[in-house]
Amino acid sequence: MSRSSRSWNRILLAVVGLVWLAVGALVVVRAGEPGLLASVEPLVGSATAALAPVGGWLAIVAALAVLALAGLVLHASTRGRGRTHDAVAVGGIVVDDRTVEDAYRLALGQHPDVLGASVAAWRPRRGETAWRASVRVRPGARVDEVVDRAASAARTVREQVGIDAPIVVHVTAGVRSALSATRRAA
Amino acid sequence: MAAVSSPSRGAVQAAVTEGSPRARVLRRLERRELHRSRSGAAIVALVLTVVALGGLTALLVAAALDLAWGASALAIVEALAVPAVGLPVGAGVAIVGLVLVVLAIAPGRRARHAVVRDGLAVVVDHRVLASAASRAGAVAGHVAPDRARTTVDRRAVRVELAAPAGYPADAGSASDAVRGMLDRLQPRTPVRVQVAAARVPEREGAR
Repeated sequence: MSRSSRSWNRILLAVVGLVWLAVGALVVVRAGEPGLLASVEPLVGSATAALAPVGGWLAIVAALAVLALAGLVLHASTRGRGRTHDAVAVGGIVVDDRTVEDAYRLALGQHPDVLGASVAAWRPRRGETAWRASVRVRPGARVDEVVDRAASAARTVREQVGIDAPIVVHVTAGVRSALSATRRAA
Repeated sequence: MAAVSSPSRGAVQAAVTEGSPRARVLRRLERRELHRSRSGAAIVALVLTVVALGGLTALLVAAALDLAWGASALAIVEALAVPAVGLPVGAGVAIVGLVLVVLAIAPGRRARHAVVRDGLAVVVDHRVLASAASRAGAVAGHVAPDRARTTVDRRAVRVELAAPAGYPADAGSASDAVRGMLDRLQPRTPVRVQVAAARVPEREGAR
């Protein structure tokens, strides 16, 4: 979880996709059915002449490439921001996310279906710092029990820390659970 | 929001009423957990664009500087007017564009369910749900745990019990067990339960 703008990702994908679609369609039409471009040919022709023979095109394409590269760097560097190790930062008091994680594990206690838990913190663009608890479970875990337990552990930690942080609880199979043995007396 | 199983737990955590600012924050977090961010896809789209434009720039630079292969570089660009080259290249470019547009428009759901727990945003992976349903169904339906197969999607949980010949699976109580588990889990969107007793292939009955 991060503060990346989801709608901006969608807009960018749509715009870039439409540009690719348009360029592809143009190349197809020009190669397959050049007659269709006859009506716009005079316009294109004069533009092409103005850019002739190579220098003008080079300038335009190079400028677009630089622009796209700048866009890429800007976009990539602004993704995934907002993660923080300060689960709480109020009035000069900072609580590390590892502390919250330890408290969460303690509150979760031992359950045969739970393999482990971790807690991360992030600052959304709006609102206060939120916590995200991932609870890894075994295959065949009694998920209703685990969810109740994970939820009450989250409430306990919130009460212990004394900060009413928004909490996301994610119950996941995790990678390790695929390797761990099922608890079954064959 | 559904009824809370545990009563209010102190001053820090008053029950969250539907529509309150807190409930809206939690729903927003939940929604973000249920959908892909598309950050990776957007970055890949930009990388593709940069590579394509960079390649084109290199060809044009070679042509402009009159390098030894400059003429052939320009010939590559001009070859796009030839159907045998232009059609596949153009179609390929258009398909890339189409894929990107679909990625932008598609809902991008993750294989997760949101479950209702007051004051929290809780999500459960479909894989976890499926293995839990398999287990509950197998135990109640009197089949070995590895004889239950479950598929989970956004609307339904389908359990298949493959009982060996002579030991019929109890699909009815398996269905009750899975339904009971889901009722306790309280998924945000209603989930149908289907339990079917599948026939075991002959070769597996050798025990």
